[in-house]
Amino acid sequence: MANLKDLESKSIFILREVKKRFKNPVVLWSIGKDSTTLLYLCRKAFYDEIPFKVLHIDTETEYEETYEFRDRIAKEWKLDLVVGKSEEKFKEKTCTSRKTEILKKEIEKHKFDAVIVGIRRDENSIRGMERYFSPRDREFRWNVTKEEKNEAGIGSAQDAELSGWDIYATEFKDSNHVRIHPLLHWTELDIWQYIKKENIPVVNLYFAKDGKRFRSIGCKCCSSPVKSRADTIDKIIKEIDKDRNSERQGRDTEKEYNMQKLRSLGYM
Amino acid sequence: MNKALKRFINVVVIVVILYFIFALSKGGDKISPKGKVLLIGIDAMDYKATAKLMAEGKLPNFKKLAETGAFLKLETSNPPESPVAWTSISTGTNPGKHNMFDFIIRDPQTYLPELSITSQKGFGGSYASLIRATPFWELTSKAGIPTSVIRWPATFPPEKVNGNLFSGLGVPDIKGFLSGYAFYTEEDIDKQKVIHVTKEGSSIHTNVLGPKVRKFSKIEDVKEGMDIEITDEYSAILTIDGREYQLDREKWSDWVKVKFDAGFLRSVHGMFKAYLISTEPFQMYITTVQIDPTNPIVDISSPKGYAKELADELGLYYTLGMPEETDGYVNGFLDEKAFLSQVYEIEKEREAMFWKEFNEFKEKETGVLAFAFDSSDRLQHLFWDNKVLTNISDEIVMNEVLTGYYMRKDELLGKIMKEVGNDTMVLIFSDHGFSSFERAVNINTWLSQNGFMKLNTVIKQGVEDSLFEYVIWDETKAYSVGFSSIYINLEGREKHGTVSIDDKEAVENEIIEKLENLTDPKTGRKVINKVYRRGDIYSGDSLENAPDLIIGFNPGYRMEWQSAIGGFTRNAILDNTKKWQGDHLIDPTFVPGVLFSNKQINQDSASLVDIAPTVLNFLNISMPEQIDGKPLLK
Repeated sequence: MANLKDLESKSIFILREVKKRFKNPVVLWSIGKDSTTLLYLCRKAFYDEIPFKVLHIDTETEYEETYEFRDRIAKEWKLDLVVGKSEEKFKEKTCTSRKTEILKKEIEKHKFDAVIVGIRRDENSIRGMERYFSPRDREFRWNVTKEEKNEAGIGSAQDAELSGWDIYATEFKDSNHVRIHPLLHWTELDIWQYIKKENIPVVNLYFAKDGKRFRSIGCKCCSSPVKSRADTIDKIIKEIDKDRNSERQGRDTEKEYNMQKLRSLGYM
Repeated sequence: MNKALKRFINVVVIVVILYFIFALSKGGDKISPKGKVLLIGIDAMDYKATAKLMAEGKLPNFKKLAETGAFLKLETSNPPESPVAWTSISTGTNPGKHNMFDFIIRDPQTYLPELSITSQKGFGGSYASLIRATPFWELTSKAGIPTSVIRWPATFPPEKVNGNLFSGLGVPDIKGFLSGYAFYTEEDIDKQKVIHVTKEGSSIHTNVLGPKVRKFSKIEDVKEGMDIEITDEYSAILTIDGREYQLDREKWSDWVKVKFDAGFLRSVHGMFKAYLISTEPFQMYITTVQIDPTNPIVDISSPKGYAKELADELGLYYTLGMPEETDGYVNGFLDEKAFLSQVYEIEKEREAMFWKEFNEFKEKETGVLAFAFDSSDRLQHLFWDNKVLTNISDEIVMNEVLTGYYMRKDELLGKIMKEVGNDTMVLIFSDHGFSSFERAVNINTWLSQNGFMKLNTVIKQGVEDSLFEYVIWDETKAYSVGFSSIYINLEGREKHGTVSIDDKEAVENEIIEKLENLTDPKTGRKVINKVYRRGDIYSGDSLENAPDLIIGFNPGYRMEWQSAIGGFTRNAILDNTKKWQGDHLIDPTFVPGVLFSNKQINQDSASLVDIAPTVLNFLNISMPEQIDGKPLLK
């Protein structure tokens, strides 16, 4: 298990960098555990007052508990909350594209120059090189020119994003906004352990009721509960830990992935 | 001494010091560098084959270069594997310094094999290069010389140079893998990578498999829907993401762009080509889904925007490190025509990239262009048909496919040499040569049969993908990972080490003696030429990461695939029945590469490690201490 203190310090360092380098950042809050932890870290980084706007992209199909939780926490934590909703013409689209449209619209409207998002590296096989600071163009494409060559013709060393040294490139040419991922180095288990340690509030949909609980929170069309008896944080941690370490998990998932990766070398 | 004189001397001393500080800060090497270096690597260009084709008059431009400049046998690395060899070329060092030892290495704490060229710590972990020595392009860049490195193997993730670097072998696909085709068919075929489809009238709805995402305890493929409308016996229309692409029978399609929705703000952009094999029954092959260079999910070039710049100028292109669909061909889903036409497309793209860079290079006063072609390696793996175990003749025969490739490179050389001036040193080289692969040797099975490894099961035919699952580590003295490596199960290093440091040499001696005497019951021949101890062939700070023993197979023999990844076969030596019939993973003495130069070299042979010092010396850059090789031009 990674040291929670180290994970926390790294994220806080990044959040303070954001405050220093950007004029108008926004934190995306899906009301789920990751982005709520992100908000909690923001409060910790800036002594309980989050100096950024907080954006909830509301597909208007969330669970009732989610809205209740949002309003309660927004009040308790004194969040400068912006709720983005879909325009009528996009209502027919899938919720992912609706969310993208809402975000585009809100960026445009508030002139956000940095968007702080709670994604984790362990969610996607190819995300290995995703950066903490990632410039995006108007269409959210990642490929934005960012290197200014110095005298010797070599771009800035910051471009390498030397995270071990806390060196991050934060200035980008031609970008519409920069996406920032302060939780990139956390895992699902780390998040739950941190929630427990810091007593961070989470929406009660995560806790098992009638043998079912949500492992991720989203709109009604995209998230459904899984079978579980974990009705406390301790039980959830135990469940995830067991899941990760179980014989089946080892064999069927990471092992299978590693196997496929090795075989992809060819050389048969 | 009077005060005035003292003051005068002080001023002089300060001026002299300031002058030196100024001169040094400019860097001795940076003062008007002269000369240019063009390096062209042709992966696996074989010395014997080249000499033969030259003698037959089939490579007139290479012959001319040999006559006016130099043509040498190039001693390869031990082992002669591309990541090891190319890194020895770029750094001028032995593996003990640069830290690349095999395609596949292991973690001594888990015994699990992993790829050395696309090293990633766990699922979704960061990619990092394992190379520990300094490549020449870093030194030429620091000296202010424009330097571009295109498609050099083992350069992923890309590093910064004073120019453009596009990573080669090691660039993953959108799953993080090194390859991965898909075959769509109406027939019932129960094989990996085969996707069953059903026709409704003339329409098919199916999916393209994208990146892997973790969904709680499972790792799943993200899918993107795709529709195919069969228009007639010979053609169809593929629709994806609202865009239509024409499919013609037995032709590669244009690039099909696909955006995978891996969750909100988590889209992954990929692209692939489709090959319509038949419409009745429906059969379609798609290439590995590659990283889209116009919107790459990971950096594949430096500067990052260079990948897009190439695409804007030349059109979309294969980004995968090893883009040739060898697996599809070996597994029988692509025929020779389809496979070869894909290789020719790749070569054409690669040549277009070459000319783009070369046209800029030739206008410069000083510069380095290092460019790699590597379809030659894949073609020889599949089409090298000189059997050494059944054929006693020493002469090699080059079939049409291979001869054609060498001739194509000769033609390219002719065009290049017309444009190269006297100020340019041209070095054309290969990382290793080629040989035949007829018998596969499972060293892990052999270790278990000879008391060095204990298994908890009896190996029956067909045990695959075990990743050492059946090994009792507490009773195991040695294990093999990769294509040439043996590790001792050493106390204090391996998690369940059993051999003490004092006993290590004795165990190694026993293995060496037995392996060097191993005879193939089928042919009566010795299987292994020599087993090398790491301390005898490597030196440097990374020596401790090296395998303890390095196997030099005799021609005709190679490591069995399952053994390379910790698997077992019932017999230690078996026939290689696959279409993958040529290989170079044998004792380096049998598979030298080539070196051509437009400048004269007064030596009969040279080594891979001599190339970097030759480049630095030509450009007047001081040689770092690490370098093992020697400059070839005096």
